[in-house]
Amino acid sequence: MIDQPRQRHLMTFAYTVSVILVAGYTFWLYSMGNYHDLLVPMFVTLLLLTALLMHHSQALNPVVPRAILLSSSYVITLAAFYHNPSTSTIWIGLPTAAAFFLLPLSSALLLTVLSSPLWWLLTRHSDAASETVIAYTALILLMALPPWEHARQRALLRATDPNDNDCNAYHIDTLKERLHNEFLRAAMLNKRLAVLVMHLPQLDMAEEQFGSRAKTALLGALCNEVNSRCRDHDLLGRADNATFWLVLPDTSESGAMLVRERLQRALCQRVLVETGQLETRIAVCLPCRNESFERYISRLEARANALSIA
Amino acid sequence: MQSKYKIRLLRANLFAAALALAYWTYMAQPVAALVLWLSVGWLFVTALLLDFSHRRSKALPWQVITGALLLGLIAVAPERHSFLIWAWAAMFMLPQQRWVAVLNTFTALISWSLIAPLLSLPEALLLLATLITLGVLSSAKACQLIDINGSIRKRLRLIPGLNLWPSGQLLRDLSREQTRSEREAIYAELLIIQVKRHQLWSTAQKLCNLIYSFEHVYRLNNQTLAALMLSHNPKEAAHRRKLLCAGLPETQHSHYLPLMDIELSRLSVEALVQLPLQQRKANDD
Repeated sequence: MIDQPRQRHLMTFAYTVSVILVAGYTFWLYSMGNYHDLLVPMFVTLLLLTALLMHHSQALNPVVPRAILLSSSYVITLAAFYHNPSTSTIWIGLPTAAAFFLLPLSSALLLTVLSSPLWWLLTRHSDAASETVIAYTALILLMALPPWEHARQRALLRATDPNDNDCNAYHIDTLKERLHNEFLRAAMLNKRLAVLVMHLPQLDMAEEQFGSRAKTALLGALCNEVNSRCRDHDLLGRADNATFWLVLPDTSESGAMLVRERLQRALCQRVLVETGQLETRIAVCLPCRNESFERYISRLEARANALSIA
Repeated sequence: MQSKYKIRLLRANLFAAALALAYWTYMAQPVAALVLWLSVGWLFVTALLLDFSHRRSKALPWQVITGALLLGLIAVAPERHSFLIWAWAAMFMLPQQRWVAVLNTFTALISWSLIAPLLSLPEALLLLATLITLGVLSSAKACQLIDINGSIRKRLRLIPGLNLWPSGQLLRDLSREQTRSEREAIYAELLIIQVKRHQLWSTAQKLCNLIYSFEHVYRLNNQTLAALMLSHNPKEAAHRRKLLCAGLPETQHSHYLPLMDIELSRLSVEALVQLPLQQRKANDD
């Protein structure tokens, strides 16, 4: 979700432009003859160049170049105020705004609030000092609104998207809800119900050894294989990190056994680059007569546990 | 629980921003005070209307109003409110339609041209360049949200916790349910209900509570709902339908289609909504 090509290109553009800007600022100071102010911008230009290179190498943590960019904006603004106290107060907004785009919301708020005394010290001699304080407060509060909106949309998505983040299967909340619905439907319309509990023993090892790409490949292979081999109304959901439940409505025990055999045969023919043959352990678990839903769920969980230990 | 918590914090932030702007009206020129109070009002209304669902997400492009207010604030007192120019960069963090983004870019440029005379020319140009860079940074953040909105939106439920789905989901569920009900030998039908526009959401919630949890409700358009109902036989279905209609007195018009009679190959949401009009005409003739 973090690394989309478009976002990457925009970030590259932002890093490049900020290098050019600070370099231009340095040349401007040089041509104006302010030689003693030159040192800091020159240093910041070099820092930003490193940040640009770090951004290009994908292996590094993207947090580092972001931190460099943000601290550069602080350093260069502070230096400008230090060397030339008559600098317009409008420039205080630059690092403040950058903090909200480069940091998560809570740390951005903390940083801007903590740095407010600093700005007050720098500008207290000007006539409109109190005005600046209010303007600064209003700006912080307004800048915090879009990130909150992002958080709201993301929470809303989590609450309304039935699918798991990593693969094409229901996530645990929807899975339980759908299973409960099927449980009620089977009871109401006098139908049978079966659930296959599936465990992927390779998953934890794959993530530790080969990283998240191998994990996603493993999950994707399982979901693809199961979704393509099942009926349209069978429900596949991820109950636990390495455990899936396949809900088979209107299926008898022998039917479920057949599905199990078919799936197991198909899955072990899938070979992945890093982990090799896809290994799965599958068990059938049917609701008993007059069993409550909660009890059935705990039985399913116990079965998954047994599979992971075996 | 955690999601409710986020809404509350966003609302608190909106109120705090409104308070800060209200405090700023102190010692302001009358015109500046007027625009400040307008912005305070806008923030208050936004805080009050905020809800946790997909109901309003596709409605009016409200970012235009926010942009207009921001321009107004800068225009009425450029030297006093010049600091707010930085808020423009944050505007681009919000997901918005393309034309709104273009409009906002122009409005931001106008705001800059109002501020520019207060600074020396190189400083003003530097300000423009930094603003553009920050705008790019913030739209890089917006990318994440746009992407989630595009692909996932089609399968989302409309209100958290309710079996209320967008119409795109209905077409997918219909074909699945048709084969399934045939195999299980049960009777399924699609009940289509038309209500007044402002009653749609309350009726949808009531409908979701009246039917079984394994049956789903779909929003076809801004005044039509559909419920996919499952029963043992047509007789039981008729009985349930009667009970449902009694429970929903605000229904303006309703009709039903047995699932087996629906031809999926030529089906569209518009056709499902249009049908009662044709039926009414047939009845009139």
